[in-house]
Amino acid sequence: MIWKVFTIELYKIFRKPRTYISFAVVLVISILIQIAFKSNGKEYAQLVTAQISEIFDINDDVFAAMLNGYLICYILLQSLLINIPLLIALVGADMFAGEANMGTLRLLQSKPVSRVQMVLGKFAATFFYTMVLLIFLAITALLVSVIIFGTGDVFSAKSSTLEIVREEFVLRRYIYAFCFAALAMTTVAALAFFLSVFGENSIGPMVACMGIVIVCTIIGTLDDIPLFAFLKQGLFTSHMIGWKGFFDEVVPWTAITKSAIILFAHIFLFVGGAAVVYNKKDILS
Amino acid sequence: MIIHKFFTLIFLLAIALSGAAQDAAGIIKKVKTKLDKVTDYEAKGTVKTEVTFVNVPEANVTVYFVQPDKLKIKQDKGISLMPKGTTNISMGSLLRGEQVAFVLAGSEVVGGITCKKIKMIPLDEEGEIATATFYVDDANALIKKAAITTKESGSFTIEMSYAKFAAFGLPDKAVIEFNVKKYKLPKGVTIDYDNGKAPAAQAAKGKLIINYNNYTINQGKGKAGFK
Repeated sequence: MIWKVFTIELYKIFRKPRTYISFAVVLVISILIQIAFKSNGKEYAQLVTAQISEIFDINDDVFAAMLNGYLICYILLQSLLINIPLLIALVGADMFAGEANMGTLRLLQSKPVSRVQMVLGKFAATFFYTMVLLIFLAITALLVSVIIFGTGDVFSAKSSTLEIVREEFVLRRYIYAFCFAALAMTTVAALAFFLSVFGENSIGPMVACMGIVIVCTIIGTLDDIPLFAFLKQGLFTSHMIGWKGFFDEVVPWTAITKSAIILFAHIFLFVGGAAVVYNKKDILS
Repeated sequence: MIIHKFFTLIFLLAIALSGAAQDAAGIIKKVKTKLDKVTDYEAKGTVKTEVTFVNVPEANVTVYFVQPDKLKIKQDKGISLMPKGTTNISMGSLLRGEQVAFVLAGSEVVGGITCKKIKMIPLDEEGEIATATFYVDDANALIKKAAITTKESGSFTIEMSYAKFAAFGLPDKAVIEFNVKKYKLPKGVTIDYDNGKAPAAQAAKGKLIINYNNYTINQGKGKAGFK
């Protein structure tokens, strides 16, 4: 029965025009950044290397080696993976709250499907949508960038270090990074999905999900404050950027494994919570 | 009487300095003669950059040299971070300068070998080199270490060890030590992932270690790097 719910939910998700807003946003940002780098890539490279140009011989050869498809994809992921959770919340938050708003939830539950099966089927559809969006991102950000700019080393600037990953390792690192990003995006999808159970229309859960992501991200960024540094350890948003660890010269496997476990725990908690709450929910519409 | 003593002292000092200069010039001449055997070379090797804030793997490089002063280190592929002003200065070109004076300034042990310490003083104010000190293994006519101060790119030292190509004055390994400024970007811009490692204290010096695996000497291959 879960499979049946899954296919019906997929049909409903991909029938709604707003589902495609996310794909359009990803496409537009990818194209804009690719055009910007094609025309002004050197200026960006100069900006990134400004601090080290007094120490190292940063010349046109260095800029040419830096500006490749792998780096453009890294920049795209850095920009998009912060905002994509908001796009995923559009669909996740609609799963139950949208049904409640349209008054179809009671009708849906009159079918011979248990509530837990309903939760799992709907979540599987949300997960599928998240994966399709990520695959679309991989195609537009990685594949198209590589076709336009070619391949090369990835140069990433962190707050206190510069990391260079050699070209021969980058594709494998991207495969790992996208797998991790899938886990991170699924966590947001699970949060939106969980909040959806409480809502009577999808706006509330959507805004709540975005609010939680924004607040947690700000706390994680201001980690110079000891209290925030402590809180950051357990916030899922701090672990969602674990994909960046794959672009350290030496991959910090221990930290990434810890982040993956924390994200899995959040997914389990949110989906489990949704199942528990929905199982007890008094369906009125 | 006092005036007589004073002039005697000046005379002796002048003789001593002139002797030191002659000694230095003789040592430098021996080194130059050895380096002049090489008209060009192409060398394959590896480069490792050791700067606390730069995490970069070892890279394969090709070094090209053409007499009198063309030197280029070219990374075979990828992004190369070479310290500014250090990788295009050849020892031969420094010693060959016309507008320089050499003064013997004692001796010092470098890499277990007692070396003659020779100071190079540029007489031409237009040159890039402000001052240089060479530590020369006199017995083998090899420069073991050079401390160079440039006008544009700061100070750096080069320490060299020799083996297979010592007969040509070419090192098997060169360690370039250079000054490093602090590096810091705002966390709000970089959005760092906490990888569990505390940031290392940034050292004031960085190192570039070049290991030369093979030289092709005097076969015209060095010119390939400057086409």
